[in-house]
Amino acid sequence: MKLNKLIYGVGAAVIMLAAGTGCRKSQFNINQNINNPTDSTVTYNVVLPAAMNATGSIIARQWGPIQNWMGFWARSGTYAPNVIEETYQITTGFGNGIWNASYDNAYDYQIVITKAAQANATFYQGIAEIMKTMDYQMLVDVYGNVPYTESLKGSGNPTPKYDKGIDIYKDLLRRIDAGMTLIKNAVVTTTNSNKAIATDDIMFHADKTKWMKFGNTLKLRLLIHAYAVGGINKTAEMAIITSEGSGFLGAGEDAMVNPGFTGNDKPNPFWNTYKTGTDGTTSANDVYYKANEWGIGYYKGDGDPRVTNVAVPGTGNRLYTPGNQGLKGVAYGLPPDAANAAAELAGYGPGVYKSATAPQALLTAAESLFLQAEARERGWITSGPSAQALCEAGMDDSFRYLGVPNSASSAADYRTFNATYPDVDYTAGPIAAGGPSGGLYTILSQKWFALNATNTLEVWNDWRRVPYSEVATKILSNNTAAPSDKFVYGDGAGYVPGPARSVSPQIQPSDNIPVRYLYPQTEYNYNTANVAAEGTVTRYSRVFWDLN
Amino acid sequence: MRKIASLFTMLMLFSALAFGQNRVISGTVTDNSGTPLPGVSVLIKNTKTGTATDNNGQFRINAKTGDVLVVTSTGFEPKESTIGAGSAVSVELKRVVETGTEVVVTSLGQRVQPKELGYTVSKVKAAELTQAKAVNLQSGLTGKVSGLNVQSVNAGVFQDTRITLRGIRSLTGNNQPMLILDGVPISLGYLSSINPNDITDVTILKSASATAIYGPDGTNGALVVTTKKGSRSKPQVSVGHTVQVERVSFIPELQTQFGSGSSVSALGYGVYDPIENQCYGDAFDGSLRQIGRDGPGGSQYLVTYEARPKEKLNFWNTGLTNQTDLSFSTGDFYLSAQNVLIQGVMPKDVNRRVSVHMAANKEYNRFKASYSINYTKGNYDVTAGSSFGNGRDYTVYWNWLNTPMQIPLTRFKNWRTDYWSSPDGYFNDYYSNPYFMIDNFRQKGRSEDIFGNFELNFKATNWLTFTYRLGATISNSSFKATAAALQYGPFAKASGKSIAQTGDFNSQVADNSSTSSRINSEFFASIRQKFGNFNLNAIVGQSFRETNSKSVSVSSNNLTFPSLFNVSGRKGEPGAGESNAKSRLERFFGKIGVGYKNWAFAEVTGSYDIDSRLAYYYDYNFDNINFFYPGGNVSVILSEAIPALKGSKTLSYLKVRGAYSKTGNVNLGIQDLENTYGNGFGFPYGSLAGYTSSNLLRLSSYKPEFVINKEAGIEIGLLKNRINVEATVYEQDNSNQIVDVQYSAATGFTSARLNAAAFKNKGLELDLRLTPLVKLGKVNIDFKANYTYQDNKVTKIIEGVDQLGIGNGNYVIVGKPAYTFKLTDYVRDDQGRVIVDPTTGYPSVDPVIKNFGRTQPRHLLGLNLSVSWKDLTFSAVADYRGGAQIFTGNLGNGMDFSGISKRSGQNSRMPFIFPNSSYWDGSKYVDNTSIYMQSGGYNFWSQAVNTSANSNYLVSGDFWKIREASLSYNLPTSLFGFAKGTVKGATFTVSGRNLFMFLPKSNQWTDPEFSNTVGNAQGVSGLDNTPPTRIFGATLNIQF
Repeated sequence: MKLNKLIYGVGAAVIMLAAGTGCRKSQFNINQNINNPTDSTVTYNVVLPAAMNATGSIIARQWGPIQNWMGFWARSGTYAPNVIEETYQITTGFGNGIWNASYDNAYDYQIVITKAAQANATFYQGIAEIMKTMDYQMLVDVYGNVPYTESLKGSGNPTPKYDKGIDIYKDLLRRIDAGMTLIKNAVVTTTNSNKAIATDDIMFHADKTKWMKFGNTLKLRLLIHAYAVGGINKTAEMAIITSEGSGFLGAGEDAMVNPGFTGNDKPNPFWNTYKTGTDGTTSANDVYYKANEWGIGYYKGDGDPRVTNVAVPGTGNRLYTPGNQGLKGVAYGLPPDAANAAAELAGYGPGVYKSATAPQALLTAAESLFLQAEARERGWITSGPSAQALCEAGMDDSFRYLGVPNSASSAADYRTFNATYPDVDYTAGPIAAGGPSGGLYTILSQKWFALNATNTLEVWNDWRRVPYSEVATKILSNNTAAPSDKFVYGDGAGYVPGPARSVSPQIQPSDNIPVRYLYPQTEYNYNTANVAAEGTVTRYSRVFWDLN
Repeated sequence: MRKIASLFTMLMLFSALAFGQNRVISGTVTDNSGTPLPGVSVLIKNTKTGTATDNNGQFRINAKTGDVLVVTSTGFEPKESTIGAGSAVSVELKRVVETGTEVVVTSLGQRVQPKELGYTVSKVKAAELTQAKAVNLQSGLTGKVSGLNVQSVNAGVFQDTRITLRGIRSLTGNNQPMLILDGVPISLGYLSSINPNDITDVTILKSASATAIYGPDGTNGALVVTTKKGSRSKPQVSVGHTVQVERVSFIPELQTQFGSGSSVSALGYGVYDPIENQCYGDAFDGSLRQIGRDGPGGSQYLVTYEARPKEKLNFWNTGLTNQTDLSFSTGDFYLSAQNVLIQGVMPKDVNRRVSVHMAANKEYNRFKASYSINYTKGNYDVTAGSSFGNGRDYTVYWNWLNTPMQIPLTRFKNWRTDYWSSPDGYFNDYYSNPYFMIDNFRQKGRSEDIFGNFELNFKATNWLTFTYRLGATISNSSFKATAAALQYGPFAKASGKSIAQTGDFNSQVADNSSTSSRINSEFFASIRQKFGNFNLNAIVGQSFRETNSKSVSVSSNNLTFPSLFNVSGRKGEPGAGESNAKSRLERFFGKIGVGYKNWAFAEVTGSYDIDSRLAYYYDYNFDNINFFYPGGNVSVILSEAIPALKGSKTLSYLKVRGAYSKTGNVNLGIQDLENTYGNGFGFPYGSLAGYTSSNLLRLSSYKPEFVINKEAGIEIGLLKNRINVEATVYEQDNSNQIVDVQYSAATGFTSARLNAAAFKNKGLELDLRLTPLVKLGKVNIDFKANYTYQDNKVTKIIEGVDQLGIGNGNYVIVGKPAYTFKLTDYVRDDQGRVIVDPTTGYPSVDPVIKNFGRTQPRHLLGLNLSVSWKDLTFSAVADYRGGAQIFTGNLGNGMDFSGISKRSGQNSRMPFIFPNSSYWDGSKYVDNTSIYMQSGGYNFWSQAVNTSANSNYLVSGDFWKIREASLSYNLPTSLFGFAKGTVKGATFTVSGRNLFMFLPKSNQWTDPEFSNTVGNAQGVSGLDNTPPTRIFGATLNIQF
């Protein structure tokens, strides 16, 4: 009997134990994410630095093919051809990184804008507004019409429609204004929600004036891109910039991000991609990409101290590092061949890859100065330094940025050496009748020289937007790269004009340098109707500001 | 101490009282394999006193010494048992062959006779499972049951498999069944940790109706594994050893005409290049050629220029598996141990498993306790493959494919001492020596799994039993992957050797450690009572489950010392990660079954679940996380119900059945709600944090997926059940599917996890058993066949989306079966001809991907033959799968790229007219009979125009396999005369697995079962696989 009681007792205890577990409804509230922050827990201040760094990474990493097309780099003879790129037969799978990375980056800025607005962190909000425009500017410049007003809405709009490039540009100008106003009025105290902005702003460390200048420079860049397009009122836009009053980024004022690059394992993204992997070993890109024969020849022909210093032999080599055969380049598209093995050729130089700890430039002072020079040349800016002065300041600043010793005097020597050549001498007349003279031709040529590997997208933009007929009537001979009247680089005299066309054996006569990327395959797969509304898009369908 | 003493006294008292008067006798009724039999009638002879056994085959009855118990049950020969002095009786009933009587173990460990069930169950017994000595249980199930698809996705030392029952029920979530070990649900991953020799049988519950009581876990059916508990009263010891040899049985078809090179001469011939990985050189001519670059001092390595296909085959080892088994069993106790050592065909790959299993049960009066516990320890050491190194090498298989045909590959083993094998001197300018990869990139891991359960049974009355069961699995595993530093020498660097330029790397290590546990508590009351002609069988219960897991990983790619693989000895910052997960599931369930006159049965079930994975922490609402679903089934034994059929000589058994059930399934991970953020690239930088939004959009609430299962079946036994046929048709309606829909990146995400899609399954399952097929004297031939037809159709994804990719080229497309291949193809004209360029003769690849066939087989057929004669038994299993396609993407285009495929050797690398092509003549497409491609060699085969047209590598996935064959011989005990009486039996078996594979001609690539994943996106085999293999073995088993 006792035993039975014991058994019943155990049975009852088991029942109670089992039933007891079912009592508390709250015990199922254990699904909190303890591995990652979520929408509920993430804050604006931790998203902004990563987003700004990611913008730097896009500019550092995404332009390899355009470096090749614009004549700066080429594949070394050590590697098999990339036929798609080297015959310009780009596909919907080509260069998708820029599309994905830009939207990904813009979404993070969108989060900062929303979260900072809720917390009244206006400085953060303002920065994110301005930075976000850079992503869309790149998207429009590369793809033309892209989703904008309906983009970044997640499941709120899984198939965002495409907006006209020009409408996006117009709105970007206003978003920059809005960001600038937010920053201008932002109050930073040691206790309010803007308190850590000096640390979290990894570009200007809460320097409001720099942000105003950066904002104005971005706006000027948009206006310059669209200089020939009706529908954007340049006069009115310049008046807004003038009345704001901070001006543009000036000499030495590079817009660069640096979250605290420490070395190979946390390196500058350009260094990491093109020079040295995080494990400290040579990047494959350093072996793949070597000097383009045409491009390096052009620098050398001008005795450019950024590549080689005629006056002081052995100095220079900032843009290219000599290989076994010195400053030898390779023709773009040439089949693999031991004579052009990586070790034989010049690679990119320390002025470009800098160091593992160097800040990453988003917009160099040199580019700002060339933009200003063009605006002055076009009469949009009517006071202050002349277009020539601005252009030469741009050259000086490029020499400085790239680390040419005694940059100002070297730049002066360079101009002296190339006097009367319109690619360097702003005052030069045409060398041959009908050829280009200085002025705008000098500004754009110098931008080509200066932005090698620092912002190649802008070189491609210039090449597309300014018709060669604007600077000369006589097309420099033997350039067949242009689908129509694209800009032609050269010294206006003996040097082969360019950018040099690919020499790939598979290239067809109709294959020219593309003037855009194709929409990614993912758009055709997942946003089918909207991308279809853009009609047939080919590598020669132009973006809105490309009238040539 | 005192209590034990008094208990003992009481026991003595009971036994003293036992003689001469009525006392409580408790007993167990089992079949001849030791399986307890429920519902067996136990009657004291010549009286009306009687009872029936419970679900565990146990009964209690008041009787006195000398009484005779008459034990009867349908399908068994009646047996009498005289009560002796003891108070416990065990009765073993001998089965008479009849369908529907073999007891099966269903959900909650309930033993039932299948005739009561309105759904289909299949059982595979120990002997069938282990006949070919498969190391893993799942391999032994292949081809034996309809509706079951066990797919061996790799031949490596882990023998990964994917298991599905009746196809899929979730478009992107888990589709593999649950595993129930001795009544306790445990993770399917433990299947490979179970020693097949410990198993009594495996019951396969294909239908969600059968597993409805398990709720979400049971949606995909269940494998119910019952382990040995010790069934015989006499102690028995069994010792066995198996040796198996594994050889590569199939390598992709190779061209044997051309050696290394990657360019074309002006005349259009391949040009020899001694340093090439690609095989586009000139034709073999037997001349002496240099391979690789000049060595120091101008030395050269010369070979005769000829194809060496044997070198390719000989690269792979002969695998060897040694398996030792030991078991001891006695009345209520079972102990076993197993040691398996697998040496794979991949040189130096080793996997070892040691397991110990122990089970016991003890009963007292109304009370019964049992437990079983298993400890498995695994150790492996395998090639780490692609995760390391210089970024060029991918996997050993890839480097093997990129070894041109003239290379005497096996000669390059000693890369540490031999210059020509060393990284500096190896001929290949672009990829490492595969032997170097094998030695230098290693992953070593260990795992310890403990799983066990204990169970308490209390029989409150004759009709009411309480059961409490507590099960736990605890797993602890870790691995370390390493790569020793590589520094190319100055000579190799200066020579221009391509890989030497960027091939240096530092010593690297990745270390991971993880633990997980799962506790499952289950309490239920079961009722079995008879009211006149009616039998009531009901269960009500509650279960609770908690899972916990944690994983920590650290890594460094910059270690200070070349071979000190410890992350603490690094330069720079380490990589580090941590992940934790915890979930709870509580369920209340019940079922009521009613039987009428032993020939009509009906059952209803209901479940109410509470699942923590649905809980949105930041806005917790209990109402969102619980859900209810019902089910029911009926069966009628017509052969007993209809008097006219009773006693028929032809028709011995006829049953019809039907079932309906709804199951809720939470196909979500733990902490899987709401958009997450991860560290931005490189972050944190010192004290500066940086986070970036994930690319997968998760919502903050989801509904469970619901599966409605409807099935109907018929079971027929003919000619005294020598012929048995079972047929089932089913339809499943799967709604609310949680799927990751790929998004335009312009949304801010590249995919989103949404809750909307729906699809329908339907299928037919046929099982035919001829037992015996032939009986001629002592020759007994049994034959079984099973056929499965399964198909499905996607009916909805979400508004505005009619297709989504789940990776691997597998797509879910509305109106088509899940999954369907969508791949790139050539641009074609309206007649389907490939359009070629009128100048170059080349086709072009269409960027718009096209629909191709399904990736899951539609037809499965299994044939099982068993022949016995005296002490010899032969058995074989063959199976067929058909209707699916496979995409041999990475393998096929990798081989075309490297120029080693037979395909790339077509037309002797001379220009040819692209088959079935047309061109635009200015006004229309005309049949191309004249435009030759500019190249039929390197410039075509190795280029994107060929390799990126995925349709080139899409072939039929149909196959026939002779899966298993074995011949065993029961050795006469007289052989063991020296140990007379000690050795009670001995068996010698020779067996083979995967003996033959019959493939359609188009498949020149690989085993169609192979896959680069055990996930849903099947049909794509890659370079992570090793070639298919064939296994031969021999086993000696001795019982003492």
